[in-house]
Amino acid sequence: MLMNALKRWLTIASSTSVAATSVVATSVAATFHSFTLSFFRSFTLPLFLSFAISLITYAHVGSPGVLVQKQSGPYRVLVSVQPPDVVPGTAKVMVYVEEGRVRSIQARPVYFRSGDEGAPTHDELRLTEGNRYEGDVWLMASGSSSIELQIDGPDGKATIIAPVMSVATAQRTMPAGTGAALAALGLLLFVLMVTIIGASLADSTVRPGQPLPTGLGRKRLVGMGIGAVLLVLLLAGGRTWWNSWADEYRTEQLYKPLPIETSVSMQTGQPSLTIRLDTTGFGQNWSARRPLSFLLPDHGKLMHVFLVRMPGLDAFAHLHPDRRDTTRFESKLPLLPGGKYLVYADIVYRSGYAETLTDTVELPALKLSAQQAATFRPADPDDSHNVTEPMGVKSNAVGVPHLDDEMVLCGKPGASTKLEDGSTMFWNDRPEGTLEAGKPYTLKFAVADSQGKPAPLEPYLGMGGHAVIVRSDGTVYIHLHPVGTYSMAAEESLVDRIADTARSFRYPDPKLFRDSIDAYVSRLKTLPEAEKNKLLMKEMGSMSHTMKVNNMVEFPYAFPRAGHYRVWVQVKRNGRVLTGVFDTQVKE
Amino acid sequence: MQSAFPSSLPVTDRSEGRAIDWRLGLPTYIYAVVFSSLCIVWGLLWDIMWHMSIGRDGLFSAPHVVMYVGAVVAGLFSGFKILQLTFVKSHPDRAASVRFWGVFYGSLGAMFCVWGALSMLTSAPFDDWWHNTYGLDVQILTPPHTILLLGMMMVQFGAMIGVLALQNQFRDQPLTSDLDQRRARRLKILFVISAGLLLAVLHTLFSENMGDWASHNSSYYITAGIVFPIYLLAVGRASLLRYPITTIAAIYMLAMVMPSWILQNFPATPRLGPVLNPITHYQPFFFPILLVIPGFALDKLLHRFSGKWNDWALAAAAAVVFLLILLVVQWNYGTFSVTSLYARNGFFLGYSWSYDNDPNWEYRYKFHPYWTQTGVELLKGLGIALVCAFFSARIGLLWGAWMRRVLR
Repeated sequence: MLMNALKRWLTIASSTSVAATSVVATSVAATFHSFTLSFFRSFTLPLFLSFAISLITYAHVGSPGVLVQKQSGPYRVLVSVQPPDVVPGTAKVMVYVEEGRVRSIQARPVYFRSGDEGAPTHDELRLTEGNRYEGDVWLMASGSSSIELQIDGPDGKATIIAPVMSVATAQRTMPAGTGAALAALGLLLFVLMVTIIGASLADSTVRPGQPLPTGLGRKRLVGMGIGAVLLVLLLAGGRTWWNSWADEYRTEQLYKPLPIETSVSMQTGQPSLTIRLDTTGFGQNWSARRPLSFLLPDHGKLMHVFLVRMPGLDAFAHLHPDRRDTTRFESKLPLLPGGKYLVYADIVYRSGYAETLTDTVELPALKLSAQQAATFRPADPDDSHNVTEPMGVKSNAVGVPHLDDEMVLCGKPGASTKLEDGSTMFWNDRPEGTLEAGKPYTLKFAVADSQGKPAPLEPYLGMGGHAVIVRSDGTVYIHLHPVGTYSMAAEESLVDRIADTARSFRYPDPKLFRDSIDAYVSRLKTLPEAEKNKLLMKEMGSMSHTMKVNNMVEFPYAFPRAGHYRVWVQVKRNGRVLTGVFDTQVKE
Repeated sequence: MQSAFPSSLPVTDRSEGRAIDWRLGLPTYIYAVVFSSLCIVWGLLWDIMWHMSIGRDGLFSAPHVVMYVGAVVAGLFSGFKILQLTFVKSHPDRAASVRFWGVFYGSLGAMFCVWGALSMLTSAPFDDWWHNTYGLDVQILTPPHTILLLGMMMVQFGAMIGVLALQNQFRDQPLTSDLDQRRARRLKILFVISAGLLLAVLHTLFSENMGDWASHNSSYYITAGIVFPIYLLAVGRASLLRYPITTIAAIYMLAMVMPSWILQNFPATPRLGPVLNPITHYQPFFFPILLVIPGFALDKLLHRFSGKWNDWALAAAAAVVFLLILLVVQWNYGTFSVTSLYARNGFFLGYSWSYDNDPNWEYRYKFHPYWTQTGVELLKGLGIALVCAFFSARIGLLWGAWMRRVLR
C-alpha cells in the first residue's frame, strides 16, 4: 500500500547510478495503461464503464502463460505460471506432480537483475487437490524474471526454474459496478463536504443553546458555494492527475513489442527476407529501448522466424536469418506460394528477456520451372518449410456447429498426418472432444515409418522436436519445446544468473559480446549435425529433455483462448526435418 | 452553579451520577476520536516501515488493521453520535449540534470524522481497482492513496475539531469549579495532542519532498513554507496553552519518532524481491523535522505581537522567522543526518535503508548532485519559499481565527 518516500526517491536516484542495470530495465517493456473514464469524471458522468482487457502481443503472442514440464531428480512435474498482466502484480503458480513423492513445494521470484542473492524468501505452495500445488508469487520489477521452485520430499530436494517475462500488458477500464459504487460514494462525499464547509462557517460558530441568528442561512449558503467551487477545482486537478497517470502507463509502462520492418527482395533469382529492427522509438522513452547488442542464440540461432500464410495457414516456414548488423537480419526464402504472410520472429536478450516480434509480409508468386526451383538453397541447413491444405474450418466459427468439432487434419478428420518421407505422424492420447481453453495439456505426437513401425527420431536443433501453434486469425502464436513454452536460452541465462552471487548484473562490452556471439553462431552452423547437437544439448545441460520413447515427442501447452488452431510439429528423421500439421478446436 | 460547559458537555450535576472517572465527565466520544487519530498515525508509520522492510502486505496486515481500527472507531463513535442526536429528540447535546440535510444533528467534529471514515472506505475499492489496472503502486501519492490520506487526515481533523469545540466553549468563561478547571486543562492537552498527531500525517504526506537528502535544496523549504506555517499558526492561534506551537511540534516529533525507535528492534525479513539490502530488522522511518525550534520562535512572536500587529504584518514576520530558523536548523541537521557517522544509530536513524535499495550506493551518505544548487538558484528558491510561507501564514492566521470560534 503506502510506500515510503525515502524509498521512492532512492529508487529513482539509485537507478541513475547503475547505468548497466538500467539497460536491463530498458530491455523490459513495462506498462501503463489507459482507461476511458476517470473516477472524477464519474462524479458528473456516472456509471457504465465496461471491463475490457485487450490482448496485447508479447513474448509469445497472445500466450502469456509459461508451462514447464521437467524431470528433476526423482520428481517429474508440470509447472504452470500465469504471469501478472500489470507490474507489480502476482504470478499464479500451479505445479502438477506427475512423478515422485513430494512433501512440500516452495516458490520465490528470482530477478535477472538481482539474481539469487537478491531474491526474497520462499513461500510454500498449497496442496489443493490430488497432485496439484498452488500459490501466488509477487513480481515487483518489470523485465526478465523467473520463478524458482524448490521441491522437497523423502527422496531428496530438487530445484526447477521457470523463466517469466514480467511486463504490463493489460489495458483495463473500470467495471460498471465499481464505477457506479465509486460514483455514488464520491457524490455522497462531495455533498457531505459542501454541507460541512457551510456548517463550519455558519452553524458551528453559534454558542450552544443559543438560537441561530438571522442571516446565518445566507452565510451558510455562501460557505457552501465557496466550498463547492473549491471542491470542483480540486476534482478537476485530480482528474488531470489521473489522466497523466494513465498516459504514463500507456506510453511508458505498457509493453510494446520492438517494431520490425519485413521486406522481400530477389537475390540471384531467389527471394530473400530482410527483417529490420526499428530503433526509432529508442530516443522517445526508456521502455521502448532494447539492448540489441546483447542478443543470445536460442538453440544456436539468434533469431527464429516463422512465416504463416493467411488466411488458410496453409504455407509455413521456420527460418533462421543471419545477423548482418545490429538491426538487420537476412534469410533466403524457400519456395513458398505467393501471398500475405504473418511473420513471427523470436529473439532472446542476455537477461533472458524473450520477445516475439511481429509483422506481415507479401511474398511474390513466382512462376518457376522445376529446374529453377531445384536451385533454391536454404541459407541455413536447419531451415524448413511446409505447404499443405488450408485450415478445414472457418476462422470465425467458434462455438458454431460445423462439420467436425473434433480434431481435423488439414480439413480431413483423423489423428494422423503423412510426412514428406512417407512416414506418418500421430497425435496420441488426445483428450476426448474439443480441448478446453486455459487447461494445461501434454500434446503427444508419435512417428511411424511406412510399415507402421516406430520410427526413431533425431534431435532437431538439440531438442526432440519443435512445435508451433497459431490461432486461425494469427492472434495467438507459440513456439513450443518438449520442456515447455519458454525459451531455452532464457532459462539458461537465468540459471547462470542464479549461480552467480553478484547482487547486480554488469553487462560486458557490447561490441565484444556481439562479435563473440556472431562467431559462435557461424561456427555452429558449419559443424556436422552430430557435433552440433552434442554441443547444443551439452549447453542446455540439465534442461534437455530425455525422450522416453524415441519415436515420440510431447509438448505441454494450455490454449489461451477458444478458437481454431493449427499445430505444426517438427521432428528430424534421417537428417531431414519433417513437419506434421494438425488442426484442432478449443472451447471455453 | 453555572457550568462553563453549557450543554454539549454533561453539566457537573449530571456527570456526578456517572462519577468523575479518568474521563472527567468529558464525552467518551472525544477520547475515542483522539485514540483513532493516534491509531491512524502509528498505523501509517508502521505501514511505511513494513514496506521498507518486509515489502509485501495483505488487506489485513497488522499496520493496516491498526489504521482500520482508527477509521472504524472514529466512524462508529461519530456515526453513533450523529444518529443519537438525530433520533433522541430530547438529547441535551442537540442544543450544541449542527443541523444538516433537514434531518440530521451532529457536531462538526463528528461530521468531519464520518466524512473521513467514508473517504477511507471509498479509497479501498478504488485502490483495489488501481492495483489491478496500473500495478501495485510503489508511491505514497496516487489518486486512491490521496483519497485514503485525505480521509485519514479528515478523521484526525474531526478529532481535533471535536476537542476544539469543547475547549472553545469555556474560552473567556470563568472556571468556577475545580472540576471545570481540570476539564479545561484536559481539553487543552487533548487539543495539542490531536493537533500534533495530524501534523505527523501532514508531514508524512509531503515527506517525499522533505527528506534530509533534500535539505540543501530550496525545494525542501518551498514545500515546508507551504505546508507548515498555515497549520502551525492556525493551531497555535486556536490552542489555549502558553506555548502551543512548541508543544504541538514536540508531540509531532514524538509521534513520528516513537514507532521508529520501537520497531527497529523487531526482526523483519524482506518478502519481496529484488532484495538489494538483506536486512534482518525493521528499517525505521526518518528522524522528524526539528520543528520545536522554529515553533518556539513562532510562539514567542505571537506572544509579543499578536493583537498589536495586524494579521498581514504578523504573517510576514512569522514567514521570515519560521523560514530562516528552519533553514538554519534543517540545513545543518541534514548535513549531520546524511553525512555524519554519529547519525547512523538507533536514535537518529540515519542508518535506515530499505531492502530494495543498494546499500553500497555511492550517495547513501552523501548529498546527490541532483539536489545541489548554485547560490543564485538557492536564493531564488528561498525567495519563492518566503512568498509561499507568507501566504501560508496569512491563511493560517485566518484559519486559526475560525478555529477559535468553533463551538459546536
